[in-house]
Amino acid sequence: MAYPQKKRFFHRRKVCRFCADSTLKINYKDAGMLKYFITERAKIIPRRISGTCAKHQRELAREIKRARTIALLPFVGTYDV
Amino acid sequence: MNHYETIFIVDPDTADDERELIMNKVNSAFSQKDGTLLLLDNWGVRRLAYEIKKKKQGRFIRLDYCGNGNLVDELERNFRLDHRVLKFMTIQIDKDVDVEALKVAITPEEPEAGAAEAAEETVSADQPTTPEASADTETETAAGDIAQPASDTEEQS
Ligand SMILES: [Zn+2]
Repeated sequence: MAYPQKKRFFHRRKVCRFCADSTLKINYKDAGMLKYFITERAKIIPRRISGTCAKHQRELAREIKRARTIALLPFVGTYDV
Repeated sequence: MNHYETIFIVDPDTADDERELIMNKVNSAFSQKDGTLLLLDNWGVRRLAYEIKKKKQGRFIRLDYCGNGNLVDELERNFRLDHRVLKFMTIQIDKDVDVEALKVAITPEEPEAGAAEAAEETVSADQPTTPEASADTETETAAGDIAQPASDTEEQS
């Protein structure tokens, strides 16, 4: 065989958590929930990783930025947090 | 009239009477610019996500109110001048709202909370009556429940 066999990637089925559960509200005051969508360095996790849909990712980004403004979430995080 | 929400962080080291002064200024702004304060939500002292003016903690106070832009300007002007206010943020929740409708929407929360408490009381009253004989079977099922999720996570990873 001339060509090596194509590497098979494992795809995790990604579903937008906010579409799946409509009771989940995205609000900047709920910093505990928003924490799941930021990295240890406090960066917003891209939707290609989290699987959040475009509409909810926009809302999420807005609320995370609001939470940062009022010191509920950090702008920069450290590894050891 | 618009529906706004303002959160402001007060230095946790300020005395109670000084904090009273800040609240008086807030109240006078509301009476001056004829706004309606729907809810004053005191979150207490919380850890800040980052230091502000060398402070690691702050007292969070949330104002839920209706008013016009000039009320927001007046409130923020006072916060900006006051060195005991570490930070503040105003969010416009809704435009051109009916104040009376919002008042009604916010006040029924308390009777509901009372009802929830009453429900909890009935639950706790029921608990002592349950026979202890069923305790053995309950622990068995609980142990099974714990074992299952563990195996699920292993499969996923
Ligand atoms: Zn979605």
